[in-house]
Amino acid sequence: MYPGAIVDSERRLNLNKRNNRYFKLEIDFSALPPFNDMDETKYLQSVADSEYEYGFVTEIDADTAPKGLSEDTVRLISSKKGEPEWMLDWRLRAFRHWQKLAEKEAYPRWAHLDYPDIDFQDVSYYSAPNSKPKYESLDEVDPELLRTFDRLGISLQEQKRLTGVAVDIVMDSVSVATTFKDELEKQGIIFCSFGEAIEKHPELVKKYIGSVVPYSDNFYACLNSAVFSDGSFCYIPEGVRCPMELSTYFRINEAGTGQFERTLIVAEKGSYVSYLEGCTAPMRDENQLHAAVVEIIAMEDAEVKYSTIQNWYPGDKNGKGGIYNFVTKRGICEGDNAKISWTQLETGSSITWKYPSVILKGDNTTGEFYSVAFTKNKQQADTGTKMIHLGKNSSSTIISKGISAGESNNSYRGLVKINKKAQGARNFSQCDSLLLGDRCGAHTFPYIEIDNSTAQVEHEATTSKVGEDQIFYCNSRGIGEAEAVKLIVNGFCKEILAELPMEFAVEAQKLLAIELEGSVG
Amino acid sequence: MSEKLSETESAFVSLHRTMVGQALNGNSASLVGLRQNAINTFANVGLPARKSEAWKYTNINAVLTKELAARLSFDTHKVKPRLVNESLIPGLDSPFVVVNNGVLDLDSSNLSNLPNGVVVTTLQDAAEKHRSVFDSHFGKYVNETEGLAVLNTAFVHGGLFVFVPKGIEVAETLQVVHVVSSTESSFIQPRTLFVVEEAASLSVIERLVSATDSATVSNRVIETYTGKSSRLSIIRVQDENVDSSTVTSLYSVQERDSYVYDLTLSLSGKLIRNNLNFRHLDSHCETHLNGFFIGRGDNQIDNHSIVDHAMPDCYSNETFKGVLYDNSTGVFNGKVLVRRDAQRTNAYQSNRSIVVSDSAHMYSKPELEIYADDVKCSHGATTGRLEPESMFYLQSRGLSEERARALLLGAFAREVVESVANPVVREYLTDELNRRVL
Repeated sequence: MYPGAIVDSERRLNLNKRNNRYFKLEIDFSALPPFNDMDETKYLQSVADSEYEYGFVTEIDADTAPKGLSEDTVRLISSKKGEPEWMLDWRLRAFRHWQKLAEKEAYPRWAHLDYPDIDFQDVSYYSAPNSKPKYESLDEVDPELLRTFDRLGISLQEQKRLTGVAVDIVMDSVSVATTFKDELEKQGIIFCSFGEAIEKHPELVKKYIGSVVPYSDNFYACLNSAVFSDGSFCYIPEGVRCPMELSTYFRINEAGTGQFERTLIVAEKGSYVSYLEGCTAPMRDENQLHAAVVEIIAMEDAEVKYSTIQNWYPGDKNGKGGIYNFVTKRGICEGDNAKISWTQLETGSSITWKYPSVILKGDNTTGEFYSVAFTKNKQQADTGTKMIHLGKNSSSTIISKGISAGESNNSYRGLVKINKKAQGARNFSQCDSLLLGDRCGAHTFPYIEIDNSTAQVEHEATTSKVGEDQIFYCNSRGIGEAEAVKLIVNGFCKEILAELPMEFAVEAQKLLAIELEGSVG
Repeated sequence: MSEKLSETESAFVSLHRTMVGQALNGNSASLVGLRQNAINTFANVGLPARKSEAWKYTNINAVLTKELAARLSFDTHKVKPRLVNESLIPGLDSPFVVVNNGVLDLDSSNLSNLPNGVVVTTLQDAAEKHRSVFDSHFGKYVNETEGLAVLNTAFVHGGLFVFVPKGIEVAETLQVVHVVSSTESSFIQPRTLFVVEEAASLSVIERLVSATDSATVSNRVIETYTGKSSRLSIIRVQDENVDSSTVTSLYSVQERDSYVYDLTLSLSGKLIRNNLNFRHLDSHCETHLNGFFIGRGDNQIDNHSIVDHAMPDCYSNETFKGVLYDNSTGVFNGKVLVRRDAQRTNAYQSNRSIVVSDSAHMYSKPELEIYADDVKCSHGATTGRLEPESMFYLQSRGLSEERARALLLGAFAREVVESVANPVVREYLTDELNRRVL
């Protein structure tokens, strides 16, 4: 999330919302952002020209574990968080497995990414704001922290007033403020930090943690399972339609600390939830490791919509200092007719390794993946999805748009697997790549594995640059080249951005426009 | 780099050592040197690892057993003229050669209609009599990191060398009948080199047949050089017995303004793996590669292709289709690589498969790897069964289910062979596919 844009969009949204609660229904996405608005263009230009201004360090005392990873580190994290025995056991099991993987050097190397080996002993695995707060109101919050959020553009005061979004702020892995909890509680919805969930709802956590992404799943998921610091937990009871979009902001703060978030979303039978996640991170010279895990469980007739904007520090022009982002995201449509939808806008991180997946276990289940990945300078992204069809008549849709600029490399890697028993399964995949410049790369690596004759699977991909005729068309109508490219890229991504919830869609469009400013021409 | 050789690998290395003193593979200094280099490279790269991405879906180790080295055979057995005659395309009446267990058998061949200057001979002979051509092309295009390809070079023997000098256009299709004649389950390594010089043209149809019921393994390597403004068309019909396994590695390079057409029809065999590599040495090249495969029983057909657009303004078009019955497995892994500055590349790739049986498998991996921006690249892949609506339509018009299926599958297959230039060959292959696809 590009904070400058957020403040702006929020301000406008608030204004509009105050005037008209249903503003979001009337907005025309194609009209945003207004290209001829000089003030805005100037503003965007200034943002694009500037270095990553949010690369500041908040000077709060942080409780940071010494660098390195051992069984003691895991025990330290667990005890710091006051976790029960079973949680520690689970962490230790994960850690022991990770040790074996690390010994074998079983890092996933198959991705189209080029980065030096990570020294896992040179990373600090725990950091929490010193005064672990549990505030009822914002007044009690460390003012330094509040100023950080102000600079990031996530104004809590503003957020609180913004009806429809409850925000669980995660600052260096520890939840410091949760809003809208009361309202959610009335409906029986649990939306809290992972730590709190372990404390208050151990039976739920115990039942579902690792049920979609087992700790042995892959190297980074295993690492996360051993050292996860905090994250979000969300539980929607049977038949409840979550009245607001749940949103969490992540932010990496402490120098040299990795962030190991863990999110668990459980949607019971017939429920619905839309979950948002977005990120920014401060500037750092040292590469920062991030290995998050997200698990989603959708029971019969339930629907989970997960949207994310990822804009962590991508490194400077030479790719120095950006975030290494290794994420395991997976959902399971456990019951019949369940639906899980992933929507993502990836613009940050120097390395992105991320494949939000859906296991379509129930019959008539639906999986969706909508993605825009934008890379520039020396960024590298290897992202895509996995759709595993197990249930009858399960269907999945994959729409992926990759935009590469500068010297970046942007790969789509996706798996569509139709299991032998998945009668009548259906998949449609479309992967389009747009190249802005002749030093970048756009790649498509789809894996299609069919074990059932009734499957109907289609995949198509195209790679091209912005057409000269399109630019000419815009030019002839008085739209300058840079604006034209923005317009065309926006059109290229439109169908994905339209999938994002309203607030995110506005941010996303602005973010893309800002990102493009620095990379066209 | 494998530090420790497997049993099979070290068996080959020591076999090579014992054979190096023998004149088995000819005395040409360049050939001996190449073979020595190749075995050294082989000792480094080894056989394809089970875990490597390129062999993800094909367990080649089931074929590359430790007895493989012991089974390496250079023997040829007498081939019955009837088998050769049956393998020729009726009505084509063009020159043909017989390659028996990888060794050119000129006695069984008929080259009377070839234009003067065209050379068809063994690789040993070429190394001696056409040294400059041989030295500038043989072994130059093989990917040195492919263990099976360098293994072929290390034991190169006999083989087939076809050379079309500058300006000569061979009007008639050269038929090559590759016979696997071993009576026991031997391992053979046929090697072919096609050199088509500037402004020349050649079309070839290769047919792979077995004269035996034994489970043979062949590791074939084909190198082709298509010179400036020239044309080369190769059709391969893989029709060995159902127990035999074949790995074919094709390395094709093209000069400016050249045209290459390649068609692979995989009709029969236990395990068929095709590594098809196309590279452009200069701009304005055109490459067409097509394939059709039929999977039956437990067999597996794995088509692995790379079109390396290293130069600007080139065109490539790739279509692979297949029908899978029973427990068969089909694999398609096609890569279009557009290198930096290979601007104005136009590449298309398509893979369509029909899965007939519920226990058949299809693994498709069409890849695009693109480093230039002014390009038009796209690919499409579909997998499914025959459209029930189409079947219903035909049946409602009085066709039996079998007839309807035959019609649809025939039409599905026809697209691949429609691009064959020679009408006699096209008709023959269309009939053959119509018959075999059912």
